[in-house]
Amino acid sequence: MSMSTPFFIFAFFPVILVIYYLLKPLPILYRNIWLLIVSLFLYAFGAPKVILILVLSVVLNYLFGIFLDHYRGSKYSGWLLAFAILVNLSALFFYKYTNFATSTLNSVFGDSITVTTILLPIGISFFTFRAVSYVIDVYRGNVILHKNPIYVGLYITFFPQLISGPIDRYSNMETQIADRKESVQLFSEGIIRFVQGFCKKIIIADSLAILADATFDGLVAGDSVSAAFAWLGAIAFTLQIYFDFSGYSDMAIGIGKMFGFKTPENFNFPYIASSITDFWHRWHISLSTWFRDYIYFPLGGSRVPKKSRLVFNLFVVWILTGIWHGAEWKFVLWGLFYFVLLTFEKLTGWPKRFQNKVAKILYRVATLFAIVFGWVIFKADGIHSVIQYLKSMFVLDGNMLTDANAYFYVREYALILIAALLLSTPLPGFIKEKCYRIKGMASLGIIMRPLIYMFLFIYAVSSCILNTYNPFIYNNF
Amino acid sequence: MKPDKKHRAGNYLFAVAFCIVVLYIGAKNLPNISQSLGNFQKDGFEKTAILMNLSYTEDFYIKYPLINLNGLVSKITGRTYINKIVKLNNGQLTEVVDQVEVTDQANHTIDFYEKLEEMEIPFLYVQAPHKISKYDSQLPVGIVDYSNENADRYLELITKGGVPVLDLREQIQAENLDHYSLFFHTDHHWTPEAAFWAFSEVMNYADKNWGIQVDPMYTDINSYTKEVYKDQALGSAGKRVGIYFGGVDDFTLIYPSFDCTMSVSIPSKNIYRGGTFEEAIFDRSQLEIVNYYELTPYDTYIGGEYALVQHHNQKAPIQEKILVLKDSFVRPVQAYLATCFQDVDVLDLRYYDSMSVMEYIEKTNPDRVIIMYNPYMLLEGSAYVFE
Repeated sequence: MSMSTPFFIFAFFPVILVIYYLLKPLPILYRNIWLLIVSLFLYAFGAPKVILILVLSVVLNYLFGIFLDHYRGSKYSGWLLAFAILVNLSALFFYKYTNFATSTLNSVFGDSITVTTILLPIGISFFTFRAVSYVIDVYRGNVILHKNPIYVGLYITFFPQLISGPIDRYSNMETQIADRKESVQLFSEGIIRFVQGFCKKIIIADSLAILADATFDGLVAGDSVSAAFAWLGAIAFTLQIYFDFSGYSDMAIGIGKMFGFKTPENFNFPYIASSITDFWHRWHISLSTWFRDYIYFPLGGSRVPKKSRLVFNLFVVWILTGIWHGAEWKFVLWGLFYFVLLTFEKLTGWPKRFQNKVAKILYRVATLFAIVFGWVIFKADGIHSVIQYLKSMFVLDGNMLTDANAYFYVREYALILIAALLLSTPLPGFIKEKCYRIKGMASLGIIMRPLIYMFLFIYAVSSCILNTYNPFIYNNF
Repeated sequence: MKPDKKHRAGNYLFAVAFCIVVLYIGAKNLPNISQSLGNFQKDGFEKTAILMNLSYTEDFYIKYPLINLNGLVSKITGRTYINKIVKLNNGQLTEVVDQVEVTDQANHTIDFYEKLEEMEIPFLYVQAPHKISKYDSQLPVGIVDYSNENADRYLELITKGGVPVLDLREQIQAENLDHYSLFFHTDHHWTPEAAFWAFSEVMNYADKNWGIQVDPMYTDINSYTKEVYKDQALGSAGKRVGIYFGGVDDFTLIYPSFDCTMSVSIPSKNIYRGGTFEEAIFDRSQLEIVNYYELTPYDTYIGGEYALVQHHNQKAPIQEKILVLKDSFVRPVQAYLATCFQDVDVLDLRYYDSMSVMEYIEKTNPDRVIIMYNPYMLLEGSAYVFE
């Protein structure tokens, strides 16, 4: 079940919280059991047909953990780990990539294989990666193995993170599952963070989705999209995906805090990145670090004697990163796009070796453009549409420079676009800090902040009610 | 207090307010859940889960104040398009219509007309106007509507097929009427005043083309009484964006000042109303109180949308039976037609499935057949299936 629906916020969440805190006098185990039950129930509520996949993942990875711990250091442990990873990735491949693989084979060899409808278990990419990190960390001895299945069960299924990340590590959660301190301060911070995320998702991302869809769908429908409208759509999607995904991450972090969990940050103002490398240190941090720790470093990372090996390592990581995002060729292209850019930065040392400030600024701007182009690849409906969209952006598709659509959407969404642009930078936080130093402003903030947040929250709920709800973009990941 | 402590105090205050709001609204919405759970055994887990989610939002406690709030914010921020509703340049609200292929609808209409010709039953297609004027769209730049384009293509085809057409859009233009004053501000429907005008246009056509003449009193608005209900109505477009985005509407009841007794039968609901025009035609329950979201004053005419409505007026000046194929625009019009014709049978093909229209005609032998549709109906394929 999505966390951004009124049904979750007003029907489920109060019950979950109240019962959780009623269990507070009891040992922490009972609260963990409650969270596990709730997590499975909420998953089943949204996807009852595939709940068994999640349960099976928990059971199997619990057993893998036991065996890996038992056979650690023995000659079987490596094979056991490989088997555990294979099982996890096979499930992921089967559910997510079978149709992609068969349709690709069919396009090469003719329609010889029947493409079947396989229901994609929601969040499978997220919970599979959590599971894989668990078995690897157990194998490496990085984490304490608990015989109690609640630990791994709650780690894999914890509902705020289950379908949209962040991909937290067992090493971080394990200690908190065993012992965490809920507090009024953490709880109130959690609520604020949840509301921030909810508003980001509903007020900004869902509004910009209308704009982005109008451009990208317009092109698919055969409409001529002017360059201004194409740019507007690309920028809108760039902001939409950030506010959508970071909004969900904020909600997950916020809910975690309400239960006493400290979840690592998943975003750090990615659009102010000074380079593509910097961007990936700021965007979907939990995924980047996952690939770094479980793929890139084991391959040798950048500390390899030959540059060709470095390029190979990057290639593997970015092909996998691309394909993780979706079972389509455009995601492969998207991964390759970042592979090329990151390889370029690794090999040239740009922009680190720039001495000139202007060059650094120019590179920062170029980075932002590259990110926008990346999102065009990500959003467009296939590779053909990517090319067509990019041509439209540069008036190469026989299209006009601007049109009535561009004017209309700028007029309709100007405020949201400006707000989104500002909020995607640290500027509002900086201004807030400055304001708090002005005498009297901090006192005013005691009243004003809750009022503003409450207004935004109720306005966001009203937007949900007004049927402008859009599903989470990363649902298919 | 230090700034960070003050910051924390703000957090606490919000947390308390948030908990109160969520718990209160959550408690008020509990009946929503119990209603959905009641269907659990029938629908199964998966369907129940989906329905619960949907009905929870649809029946949300304080739903209407929330819609009003959203509309207000949209108005303040200068939005012109929310929840698929367009605010026209003149402030009126409407939906826009997509382009639609109309060849099948036109061919069916031509076939229908030819069959009626064989049966020697006069036929007329009346094109009711869309909210968006063909000659003055008032659409904000960037919004496109194809209602008139669709209607134009359809009328061109059926005119080529010889079908008699009365295009009220052209009549509005020819008579230099203010198109937008014929419509509610917050609804796609025309007002009862406009419906009365449309009725008089049909009678004018009947006079000129069918040789049917009635006492001018019947088509003179001065022979009728008007009851105006100020700020009474919120139309279907207004209901989707709230009362602050596009305002509210007055509603008018227009009924004969002369003696007129008639009856209305709605077979599917076992409804029979007889007496004066007001007693037979009006369901005044929609006007008893002002309730913008739960009540629809437009439904005062006839009482709502029904598959078949039969009017009988024993003392009508024209002792004929007419069959009208209708959409919602026709409801006030049919009431006024019933002052002139002895029998007016009104079928709504979106809902009528007891028999085909041709079978209904063979069974009831109407003297004339009229179709009166607004351009929306071209999107309703079933409205053009007559056999």
